[in-house]
Amino acid sequence: MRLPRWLFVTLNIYALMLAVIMIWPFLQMVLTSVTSDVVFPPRYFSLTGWANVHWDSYFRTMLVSLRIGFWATVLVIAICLPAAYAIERRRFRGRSALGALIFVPAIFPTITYGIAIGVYLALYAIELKGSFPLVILATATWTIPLVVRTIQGSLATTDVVYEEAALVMGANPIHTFFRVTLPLIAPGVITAGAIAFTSAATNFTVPWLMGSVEKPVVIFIWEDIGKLGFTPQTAIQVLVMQIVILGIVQTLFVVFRKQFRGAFA
Amino acid sequence: MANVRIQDLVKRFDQVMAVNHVSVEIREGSLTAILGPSGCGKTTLLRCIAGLIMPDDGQIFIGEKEVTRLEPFKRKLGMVFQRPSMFPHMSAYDNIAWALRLRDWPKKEIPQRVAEMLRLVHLEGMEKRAARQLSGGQAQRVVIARALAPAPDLLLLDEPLSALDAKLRDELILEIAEIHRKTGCTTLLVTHDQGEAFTIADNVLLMNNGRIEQEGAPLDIYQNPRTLFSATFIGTNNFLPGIVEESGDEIVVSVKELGITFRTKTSWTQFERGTPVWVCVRADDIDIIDENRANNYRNVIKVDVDHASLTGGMVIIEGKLINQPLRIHVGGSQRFNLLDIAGKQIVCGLSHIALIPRENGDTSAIANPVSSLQQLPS
Repeated sequence: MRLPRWLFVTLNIYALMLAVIMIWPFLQMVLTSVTSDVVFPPRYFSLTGWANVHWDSYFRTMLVSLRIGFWATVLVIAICLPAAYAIERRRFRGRSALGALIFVPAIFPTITYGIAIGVYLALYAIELKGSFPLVILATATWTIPLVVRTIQGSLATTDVVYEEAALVMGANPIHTFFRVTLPLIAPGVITAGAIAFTSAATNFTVPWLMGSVEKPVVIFIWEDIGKLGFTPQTAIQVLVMQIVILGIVQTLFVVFRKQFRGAFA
Repeated sequence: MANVRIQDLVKRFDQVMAVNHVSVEIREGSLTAILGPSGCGKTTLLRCIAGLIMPDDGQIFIGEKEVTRLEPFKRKLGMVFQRPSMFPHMSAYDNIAWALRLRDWPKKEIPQRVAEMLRLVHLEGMEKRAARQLSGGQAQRVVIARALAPAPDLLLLDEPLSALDAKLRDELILEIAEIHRKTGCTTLLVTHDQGEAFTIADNVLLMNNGRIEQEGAPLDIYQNPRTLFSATFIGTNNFLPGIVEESGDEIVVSVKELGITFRTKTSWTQFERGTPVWVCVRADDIDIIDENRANNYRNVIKVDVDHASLTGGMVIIEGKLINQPLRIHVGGSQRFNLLDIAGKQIVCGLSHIALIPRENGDTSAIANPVSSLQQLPS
């Protein structure tokens, strides 16, 4: 169907506006990072904000965030991969109920989980409060629904015939999973990993509620705002955080795309 | 290479009997086609043999070994599926080499064996290509090579050509026949296409409603259908309800409604006098002849032609035998002389007729003599 020219142009403008709205916060950060004049549009440009950031402390906390992101991703993929496989490939009683149950963390606000875990800690293991493994576990839990759904979607669109072919060829189910299923659903697993990593590395609520002993970068930025208010330093810190995380995710995509060329085609 | 023996196999899906007490023996080195309409249970039967579906009852033997409950990866089979199944993340070489490694093929011999298999399926020089760099037919050839490479006991082909276009299908079916001749691997081909089955199989299992309706050589099944289903599913038939008048060396059947008798000496079984039968006349077994050549035929009929149409390779003539519709297929160069015979009467010699048991009083097929499952009594 050929659209009338005016409608075509209107739709294009609409799409462009949406894109601008989506990317606007990032552009605003870029703009604010190169001026100390916090008005729009800025009247002059300056790089003094970059010199005012406490880079040592910033990168220390950034490293904590990346570690949380990494371990939470490893954990959540290890949990969700078998779960998604079971829900998508196996037929068993209660399959759809399990599928729905896994989505529960997405329904409750983060604070519900944070407080629930906090209550358990207060009752049974107060010494674990704020410990690094617990922060990882809590942040990972929060990403389970999205990760399961993403991997499940990838499995649903991968024809089971490849797995059947491998089985008849003589590969046992474990071998089939690692040699055939996993490479074929790699795009979905990597996307799920990227979601989990970004979500865990930038999660504010869970580490804050857990009283994380090791301070992640988002809490560092939050405390900075508490002390100094919104300054160009804030924009610079958020901008650098976004660039580092996006850079890592993008690198992962490039590396894995090369690794699983056929699956990405 | 091994023979396959299936004993009283049953597979149900809820209330549906997909495989209904099937017993059959497949000869070592043969190419057997499991032929039948969609939903007749042929793929389920094949998947039971592959181990991808566990049967509810019965036994499957490959060679002397019972494999009924054995996992698929322990069965030493090769399988080609209907849907494309060349692993997209591996090259053609890796697809075949992996199959060899899984069956513990000596490492040193793998490159040579892969090359040999690629040569067999006419894909020399394409070992580095991935599925996306090959056409549908080429990718399916890689899958055939992959299935055959470790010299399996049994090769299972589950409608391997149905996703391909007609021309490619015609080419590949002949290639499969050639590969079978070269390798001698016992092969089971599931297909709904009778042309495919008859072209390459040396044995055909005709399935309907989860049962094996008829088994035999393609020519035997074509010429001597034993049930109404066999006769209707294969080729185009005209059916006339008759009663056996004489039995013995020559069987004489009368069709009282038309006042005609038919004679045959080639019935697949003896029918007793008074048995109701369908006289089954294939559209291609009707020869248009000069009246003075009538003596050469055991059965001769006169048909009033209503219509003749050219379909390319043959002419379809629709006419009436007395008052009953009849269809005739004529091939060869003679067909071009028949396009203007509408309204004329032609003399026809029947080169072959088949007799099929009929329920007494069942004459409904006579109203629609041309083959069609929907039109015939079940």
